[in-house]
Amino acid sequence: MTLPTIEKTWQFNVNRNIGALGTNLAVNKQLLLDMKNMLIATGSLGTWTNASGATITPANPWTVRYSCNGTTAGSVGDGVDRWQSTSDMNPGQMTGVTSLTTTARSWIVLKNTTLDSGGNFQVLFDWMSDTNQGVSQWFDYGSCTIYVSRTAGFTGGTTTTRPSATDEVFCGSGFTATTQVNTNFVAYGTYCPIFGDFGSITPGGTGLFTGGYTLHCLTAADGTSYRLIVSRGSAVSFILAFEKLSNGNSSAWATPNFIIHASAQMGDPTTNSGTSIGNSDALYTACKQPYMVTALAPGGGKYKCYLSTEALEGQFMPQKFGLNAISNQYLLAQIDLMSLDTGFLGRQGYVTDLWMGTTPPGSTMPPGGPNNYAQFGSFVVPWNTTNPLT
Amino acid sequence: MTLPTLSKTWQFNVNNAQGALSSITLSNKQMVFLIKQALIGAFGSWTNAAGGSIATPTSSLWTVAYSCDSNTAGTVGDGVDHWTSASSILVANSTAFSWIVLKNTHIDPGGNFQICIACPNSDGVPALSLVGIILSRNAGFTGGSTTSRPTATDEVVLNPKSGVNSVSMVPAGQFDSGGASYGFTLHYLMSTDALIHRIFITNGSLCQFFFGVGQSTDVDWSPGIVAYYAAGGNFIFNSSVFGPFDGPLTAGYGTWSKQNARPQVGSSLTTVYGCSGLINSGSFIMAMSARGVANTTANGNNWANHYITTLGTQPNSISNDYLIEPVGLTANSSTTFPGRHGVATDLWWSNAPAGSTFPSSGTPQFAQLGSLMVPWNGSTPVV
Repeated sequence: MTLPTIEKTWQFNVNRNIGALGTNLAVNKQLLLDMKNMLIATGSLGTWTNASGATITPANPWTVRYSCNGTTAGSVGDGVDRWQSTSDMNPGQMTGVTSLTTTARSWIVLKNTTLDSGGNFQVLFDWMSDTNQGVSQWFDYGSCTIYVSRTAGFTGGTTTTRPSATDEVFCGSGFTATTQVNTNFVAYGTYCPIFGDFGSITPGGTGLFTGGYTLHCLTAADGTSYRLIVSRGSAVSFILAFEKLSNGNSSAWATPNFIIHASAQMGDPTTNSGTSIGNSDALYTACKQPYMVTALAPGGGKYKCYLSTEALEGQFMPQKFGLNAISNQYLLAQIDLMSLDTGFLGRQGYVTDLWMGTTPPGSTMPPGGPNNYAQFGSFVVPWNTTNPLT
Repeated sequence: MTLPTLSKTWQFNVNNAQGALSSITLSNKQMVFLIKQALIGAFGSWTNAAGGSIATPTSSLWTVAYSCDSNTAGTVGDGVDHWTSASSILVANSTAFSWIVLKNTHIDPGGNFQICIACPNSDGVPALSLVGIILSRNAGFTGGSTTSRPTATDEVVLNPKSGVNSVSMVPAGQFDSGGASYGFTLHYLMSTDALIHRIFITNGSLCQFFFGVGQSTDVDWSPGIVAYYAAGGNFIFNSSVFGPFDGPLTAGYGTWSKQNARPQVGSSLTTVYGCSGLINSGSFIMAMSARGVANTTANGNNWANHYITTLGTQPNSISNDYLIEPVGLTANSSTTFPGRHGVATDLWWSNAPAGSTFPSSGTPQFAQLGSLMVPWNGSTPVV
């Protein structure tokens, strides 16, 4: 197979496998903590390598702006990371299915200087969810609100209220701000259910997800792409990616950032329906559900995008084919961003260095090595020559 | 917008507009006749990509191997063109009909690529609404009479459908929605190396007929000979819906079926373009595939619609550009050779209005014919 050219120089902290921890809460605490540590590249978690597998100090990591561990809330810009261990990871307690929590909880604001030309791109993780309220298994500690601020930065925040930013954008569903809290909350209206693949979880503590996960972090050395991929066997149960679109379709969109925040088996947030319309693979969910990709609009605000690729008979190519019957090779299909939102209609560009693939999960390419590409779920990413753990 | 880079240099015989004649039958005859005339270099004028006149590239075009005007059937290799005018093309159900075999020495390395255009009629449709196009890559056609078409041992029938004389036929040339006469414009594009030949018949906003054959440079078999066939009207399925992405059944399916084995993008059964890949042992069926986006109203989002189906002719809200998308060549998983086998050389989907040119200002380097964007010669396209 003629493999696609990898456009960016990638840095890898991958194959962090966490085994069964007994409860969903324990797993989710560990995962959220790990994700933060991956983004800030503290060096205390895993080993960073380049594409050849050589150890490196990663360029352009995120930094902690300020944080809260549920007991102590920092102040803007104090730079204190209060997420030091899983004991600092404390989810809030939602008071009902249609209102946000006001209880003490952990949150953190991270800053990035390279994603946006203003040099002050920030993200807020606000772990508001508690165990289910007797309504939905999706609330089983698996929900974390994610907001981004392109330039203004977050301010405020206490142990019981999250920081906010004047230009903040909620990543996820509930695209009408006034209804985020009140109408779409049951399904996934105001939060990003970060841990995905909840279909078999028993609300309250035990279930499928207690079985552990493998976390992979891939970042572009130029600081324009950050990807956290949670794989669980044959599927990607969650992906969170902060990206700067390098191939936008117009100079009119000078700072095209977008965030992929997709979980497997997501329902439709617009109808409060828990019925899965997604796929057992998180990125496929983002192909079927535009609320899983948030694009930051020129001039502020956001709009929704689908991930998309070439299709035949109503199905995306990788859904239809395994081996090519002529070439005896697998397919790597480019992934485009397509928006159908009014005012943002059309193809926005393609996602750099991410492809839909048809090889079995855990496969690597090229055949015979070195392992420069790896397949997770239905998607292929650049790889660092190691053997991928799924 | 960033325009694509051409893989080939092209020569053009385009903008050959024909007004409506007095009947659907006459219009159909005229269309088939002029296609033949263009293929053999007897119709239209040729230019290079800059629009400069060039001599008709006769040696790169097609020659008549033999033919039949329904009264007289030629013999193999006699070279006689019995299609001397549109009136030479006759059709009849189960009786005499016209056919012609054309030869091209460039498309296949063997130097003996042939097509047979056969015009038996059936199904009670307007005369010449069904035209059979049969390909022979090397062996060449033999036989034939006033009531039977020639055959070839390696023949590949585009769009087979059972019909009279056991001839497979296609719903081509049915360019009306109610049997009315019609006008059309014929465009013939040929790569300068003579490896690719494409005929487009436009009728306003539609590219209602597209026949192309040649070597594609971007496929996974070699020589990558691909034959395209798409036609508008969809008469067979009694659809009067004409849209920019409508097309009848295409490509050489073994079984004529609406539901099965039809390459298509989107949920509409009329949303089809197709093609066949020619290989040593015959052919395999492909579709002209395209990028799709989830259809939020169909099948629980478990469906992907062609971008163009979704967007229509709406440009990108941010860039104000139209889509320009590669034409994938993909065989369905139910076919002999499933997989995506490459892309069509110098051919793209676009959602620009028919007749648009690219770039948006300056000399037209590309033109929009129906839903397809093609290389162009700087002229103003007549659609």
